Amino acid sequence: MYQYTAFDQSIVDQRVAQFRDQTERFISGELGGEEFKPIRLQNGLYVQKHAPMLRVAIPYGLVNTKQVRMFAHIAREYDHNYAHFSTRQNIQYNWPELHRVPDILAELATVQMHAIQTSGNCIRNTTTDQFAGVAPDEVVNPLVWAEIIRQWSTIHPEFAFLPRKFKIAISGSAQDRAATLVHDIGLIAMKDASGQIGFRVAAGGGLGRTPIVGTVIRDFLPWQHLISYLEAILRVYNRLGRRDNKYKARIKILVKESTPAQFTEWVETEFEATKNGPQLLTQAQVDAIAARFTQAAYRELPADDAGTVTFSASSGEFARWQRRNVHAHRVSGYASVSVSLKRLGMPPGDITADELDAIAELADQYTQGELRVTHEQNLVFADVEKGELPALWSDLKALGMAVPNIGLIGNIIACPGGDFCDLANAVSIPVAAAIHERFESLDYQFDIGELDLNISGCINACGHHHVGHIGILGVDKHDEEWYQITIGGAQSGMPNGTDGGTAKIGKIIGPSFARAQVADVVENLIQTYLSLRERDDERFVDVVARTGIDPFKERVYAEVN
Amino acid sequence: MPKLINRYGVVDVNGTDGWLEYTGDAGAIPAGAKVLLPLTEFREFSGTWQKHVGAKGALGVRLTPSDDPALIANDLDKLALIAVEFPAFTDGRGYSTATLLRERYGYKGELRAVGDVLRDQIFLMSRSGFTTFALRNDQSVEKALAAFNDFSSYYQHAADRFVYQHALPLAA
Repeated sequence: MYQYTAFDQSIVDQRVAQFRDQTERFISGELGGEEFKPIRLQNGLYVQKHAPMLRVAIPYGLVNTKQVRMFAHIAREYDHNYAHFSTRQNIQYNWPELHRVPDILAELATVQMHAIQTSGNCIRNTTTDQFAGVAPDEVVNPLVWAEIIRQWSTIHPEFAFLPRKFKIAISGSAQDRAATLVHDIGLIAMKDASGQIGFRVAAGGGLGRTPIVGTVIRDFLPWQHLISYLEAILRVYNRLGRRDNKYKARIKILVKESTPAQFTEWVETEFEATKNGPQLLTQAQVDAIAARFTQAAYRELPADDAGTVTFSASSGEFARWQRRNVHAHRVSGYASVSVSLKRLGMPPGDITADELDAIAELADQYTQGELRVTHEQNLVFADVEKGELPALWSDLKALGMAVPNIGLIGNIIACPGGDFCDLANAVSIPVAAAIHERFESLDYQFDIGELDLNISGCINACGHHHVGHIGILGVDKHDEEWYQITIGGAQSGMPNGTDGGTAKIGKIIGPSFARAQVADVVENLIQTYLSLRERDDERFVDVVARTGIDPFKERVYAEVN
Repeated sequence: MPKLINRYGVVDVNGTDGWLEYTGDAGAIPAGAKVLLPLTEFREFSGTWQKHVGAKGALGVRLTPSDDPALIANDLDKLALIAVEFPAFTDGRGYSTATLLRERYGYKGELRAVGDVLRDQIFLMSRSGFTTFALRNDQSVEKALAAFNDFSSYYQHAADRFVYQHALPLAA
């Protein structure tokens, strides 16, 4: 966990004071709505259906238990006793009152948190792998680089009014768990033959109306040049990105329309002129930032805990949870644990104030007081001793939070949709609930195996539907809610490269469906898959890659018609 | 008229500091004047204009957001003013224009933000290397002057270090 210096704290405090003044000027009528809009957005505040929505940054997904307790406090004090984890490692409140938002931000600042640039046409919260620093397949720990990007991008004067929003993701593992190729900039931290750290840089990926997999524009950028290279990309985009049409304003359109080769040339020219300027990072700077991260202290433990192994053999329920929600750790005797926020009867990613407090309690007890928030809208305990797994499971179970559905169809990613969001064409939460109910049987979920099902309530694609193995998109047809289905998407490649090793955009199977049909359609897709799969470990998405979408299409539309 | 300020106070309540804007009527620009020219006019006729305004006058260029500052990179010593236009405060291209002029091309003179120049963007503009600000008519001078101090510190290098030499490195 990064610990603020007095310098970091002063910036966050001054931002709160600035926004308090801006909010007061807006309320008094001195500042017009149009002028206040980008200001409130860059402080995380949307105007939604019922009330403003406040989006708080959880930089690269790391959060400590003091901060989680603050989330609970804010949910009770300023909201309706719950909060929502988004797909970009943020937490959202759906019911704050505008005049109290500066107070919320001031409370967050007391625990080193903020809502700076969580919305608006600026550089947003940088996201990363939820297992950063603890994953066994990690080559470079991306956390320090993510913090450097956070600092550099915070209130960057040149890039506060970009053509459109700008999202950066970074991963440092063999498997890209940060979906870097569907971001405006996707960075893979790696080492060259001499062991020097550098980055593979991709640009122009994104979802939304025009889903595009990013183009790698640099195979290896030495770490010293990270900031100047990012600035080169941003400067080219800021000057040349389209501003005439908000649907064509993302960097992906510039990369595509100018051609990736031309875009790369512009960036490289810009970079050549600035690469040895003051933005050049030094080892001392990187070390200083790295030193401000707390380090977990590990005990020497055997690779497996005998008690846990025995318990697992006797409890099928525990074994199942272990199989889905417990993940390998780079340190012997430790594991990472996912807490699924995809529960029957709860919207995906939602959590109550009491649950937040309870989770903080457990994190203090079973980890070193830290949690991670995932882009799949779940939580992770990163440093659990394997001997403690049965006790943690039992405590989570008592809270109803030991749902063993990570990686399964029950782990639905969904945006808040039409129930809350002003942009949405259709609801997401009730669709997720209907699918949840349909696939309530865990045996069935385990039989289906790995499957990402993602739902977005509109083409802005906050639910990342394009990269779901099954993607569901809410569309508006004559003022009615309809749903378009895609299959075969993937947020990243498999580490062994068997699937081409890249993110994939799903293919639309055909005309859209009424809300009441969606669960049946998903069921038909699953049945088709089960009848086609050749081995138990051939995943849904593998079958789609092998057979194409036709068999799925035929079955689904034959049933509907 | 918009008021013209810098970070230390009001430069000119009439917003121009004596600069005349050339809008196609050369007769309106007397000899010895300080004249602000559109980019195309400057590129084609800078010699003529230089003779016209003479040693007592001065030349400036007004850049629109899409104008490439590289086109005046070799003429910066002829210019006493570069004005960068913000047609809307949400159009952020001017920040990159200013950064390029300061960082890349080494412009040391007055860099003026004109157009939709508002209190809430002054801090960012100042950090990007602007030194004077022609405030939109409805803006309070007092509040705009306070905006230079919205933040006492910042993380990243920016073009203002060529102007005030007070920028701090990343996480200093």
